[in-house]
Amino acid sequence: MIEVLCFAHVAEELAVRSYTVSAPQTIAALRADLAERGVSGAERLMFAVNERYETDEYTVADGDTVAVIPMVSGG
Amino acid sequence: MKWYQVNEHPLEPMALYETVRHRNVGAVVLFIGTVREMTGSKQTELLEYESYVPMAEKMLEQIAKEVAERWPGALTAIHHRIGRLDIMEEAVVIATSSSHRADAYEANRYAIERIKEIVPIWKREHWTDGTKWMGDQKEQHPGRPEGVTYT
Repeated sequence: MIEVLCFAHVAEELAVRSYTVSAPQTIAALRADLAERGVSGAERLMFAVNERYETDEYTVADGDTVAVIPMVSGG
Repeated sequence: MKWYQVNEHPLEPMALYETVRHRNVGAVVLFIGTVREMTGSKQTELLEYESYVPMAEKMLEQIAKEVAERWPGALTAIHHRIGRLDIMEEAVVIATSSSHRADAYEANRYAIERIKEIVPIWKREHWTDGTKWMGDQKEQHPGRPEGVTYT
């Protein structure tokens, strides 16, 4: 299983802070799934796997933790 | 004192000043980002910050490494607060030090700009007429943010 962590508007739109999906999954597939579930701006989301930024072609493995990262706005 | 920290505690700017000092430092620049009430005609009541804390702290450390590559010898300590913040409260403190002022100033500016690109922290504006999660302040493209390398 892959644990997916949600933050900010993504967590609110899905009404969950995390969910699990079966492995393996590409980040592109996770992005498409989020778009299908109605997450706004899914095409602009960033993704981190085990706390490292990765891009669409990356394949997430069993046991990995993915963070869905909307455009950041710290400072 | 941790050099890179994201939590809900009120910030202590002078503690970061002490962190980056040593005998060969000739300049310390302390940036303090505070909660502003008016943005144009919009009135902010409070700000709410959320973070993916373990990754955010790693990214702050990454920024400090980038600073040290660009301005050798420069030191950087960064604390960012999360949770609900009132007007005038401190949201972020960045301390940079160097042997001379030019590097300390430039390093500090670099650090705040990088925070707005790569550190997973999100700000929600609570205005008098609604709320919104802010983002895209630098019009980034999706995928891995530019310039992030892993060692």
